[in-house]
Amino acid sequence: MMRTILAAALAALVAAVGYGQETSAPQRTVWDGVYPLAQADRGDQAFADACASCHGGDMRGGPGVPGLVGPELLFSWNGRSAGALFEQIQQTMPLDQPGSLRAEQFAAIVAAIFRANGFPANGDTPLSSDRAALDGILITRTRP
Amino acid sequence: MLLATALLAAPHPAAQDARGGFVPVTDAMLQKPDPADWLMWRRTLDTWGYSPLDQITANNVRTLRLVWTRPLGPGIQEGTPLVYDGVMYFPNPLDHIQAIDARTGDLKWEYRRKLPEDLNKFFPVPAINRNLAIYGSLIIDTSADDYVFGLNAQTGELAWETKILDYQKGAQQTSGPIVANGKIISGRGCEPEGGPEACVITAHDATTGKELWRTRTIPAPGEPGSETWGDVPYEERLHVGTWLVPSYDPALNLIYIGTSVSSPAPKFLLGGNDRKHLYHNSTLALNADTGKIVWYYQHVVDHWDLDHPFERLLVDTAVVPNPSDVRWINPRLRPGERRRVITGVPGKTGLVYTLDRETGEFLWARPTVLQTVISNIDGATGEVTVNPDALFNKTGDQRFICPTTNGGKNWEASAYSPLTNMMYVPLQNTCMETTAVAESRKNTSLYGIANKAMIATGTDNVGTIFAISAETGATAWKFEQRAGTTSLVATGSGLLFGGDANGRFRAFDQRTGEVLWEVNLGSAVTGYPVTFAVDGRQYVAVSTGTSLATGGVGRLTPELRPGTGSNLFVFALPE
Repeated sequence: MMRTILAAALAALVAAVGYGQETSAPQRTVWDGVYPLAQADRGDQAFADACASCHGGDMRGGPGVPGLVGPELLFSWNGRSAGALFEQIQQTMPLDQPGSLRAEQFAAIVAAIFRANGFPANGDTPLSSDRAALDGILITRTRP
Repeated sequence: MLLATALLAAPHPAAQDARGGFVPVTDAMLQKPDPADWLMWRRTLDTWGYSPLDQITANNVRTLRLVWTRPLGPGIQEGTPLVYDGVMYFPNPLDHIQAIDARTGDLKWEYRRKLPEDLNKFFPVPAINRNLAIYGSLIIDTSADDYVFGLNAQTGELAWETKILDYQKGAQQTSGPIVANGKIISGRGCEPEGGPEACVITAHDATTGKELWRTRTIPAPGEPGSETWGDVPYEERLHVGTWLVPSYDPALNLIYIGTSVSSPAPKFLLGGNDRKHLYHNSTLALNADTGKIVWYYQHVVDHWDLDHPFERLLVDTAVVPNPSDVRWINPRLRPGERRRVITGVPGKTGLVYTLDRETGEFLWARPTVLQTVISNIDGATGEVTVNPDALFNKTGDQRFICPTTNGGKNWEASAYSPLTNMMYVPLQNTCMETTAVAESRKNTSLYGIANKAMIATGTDNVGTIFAISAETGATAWKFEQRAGTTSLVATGSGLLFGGDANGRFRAFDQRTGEVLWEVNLGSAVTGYPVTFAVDGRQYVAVSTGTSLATGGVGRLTPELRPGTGSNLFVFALPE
């Protein structure tokens, strides 16, 4: 728990001073607790409204639709940043109206995807909708 | 030109009775439709995507103009208009069906099916609604919640509905049916939760909706083919779907339908790489009266989600494959021999397969776009050998595979023209790095693989149209461009209409591939184009929207940024 709180505090600090470009080494991973449960709940709702019609309510994907949970997501995103995932979703989704959600909604959807993949929640520091801040969070298959 | 006048000036012989009322549609009308009408997915039961109408020609096509347009409902849009006696019936996404005056675009009635709110919990893409059928006085469709239903064609009122499966462990009903001698024949995708019992082809009485038979695509222990799954328990044989529309030969009374990959795809996770896992990725020929599988042909044992459910073209032709174009040929073929064949590109690999449609005998096959999964086909037996370098042997194995899970070929349909005896096939140049990521068949995503798609090696163009002789297998011409290509329709004046993922809709010359006319519709052309006539005037209808397939090829051409509007457009020559 202490580690999570420290990590969150560090993240807030990093975000506040504008660090965390993709070119610099990410300071945290998705295993450090990078979203609060309430944000993932909001993300689940936004996902149900905007994403589930193709990716399925359980995020498993389908014929021609990538799965967003389990080995399929981790294979594609292991070693990449939360910022890259956020940007890809924001720029290309939903399929029929790319970019039509608010940035905070896209960030909440990323939080929901993280929860669905078993990455732990934190206390109350939301996952940022700022690309640079998100670049400071690394997606890793296993806990470092 | 005289022929054109004769075809178009004749009053519609069947659609109005003496009092001017609605004339019920019969099997005879479906099996030999009026040239003015478009009565099913690909217009005829042989699935040609061909209309004999010939008012719009190479000489006047440049003067085509928009007659009317309508916005379509929200959701993935891959609809086909059905046109009967001047009325267009359109399958909007989510089982929203509209009857429209085909001359003016004015709405006559609409039906919105009340669907369960939790559909997305059980399967993705419930919105897709590719086609309708018509029989008697009914418009017939299959629903996202796994019913087959009939609507009064004159009012849109629900006449009857019959449950096929429980949607909570059911099937994806993205395509609608055909009607074969009074029977509604439909296939479906099937979710793993539904087990093998959800993977069925069904027949229902086209007048009453009563179920007549259902045939599984997956054999149970004790049934022929069960041994091809090795030690995989029956309840773990999953997802062999039939998610596009069948063909029907009334003379042979055979239904032809294609099947998909299994879940997971890599066979080392199932019964082993050396087993066939029937009847995945096969053509099935079914007796229309009983549903019994009369013959099957497996196109490839699929480890990569390269489905084979696409349109089967039924053609009677001389079979003279040219060895310089056709890589695999049956050595028993006699020079000049004529056959009743089933041909076309049935799967994502892009291969053309030609079989005898009475017996399933392999006649010839050839690749089109770059493919890396099939290394050989034995001409004498039709037995397909998978490229051993393409096989996964364990979790974590990565392979470079062409095409992608998007195809090659996908649900966008080819057309066949009897004027040229050629098939015209929209195909995409794609490859992927794919990795087997599932650790077991109980710990898997739907397919157990993860992919990174790219444009095929050696080209910058994604979209192609191949014009291929049904007689010789030779490529007569090939159209290539950056944007992915979509469905085609051929006409009796030698034109070929087709769209692309960048919103362009074009008329080509069937013989040369020359582009004779082009318009930008603003969004990807995702619906199936059709042509029809009302009061002697020929129309061409086409629709735009979003789809997984055009979205997939669109990501390979990020500089092309079409809109995402779902709209129906109808063109004709100036009056």
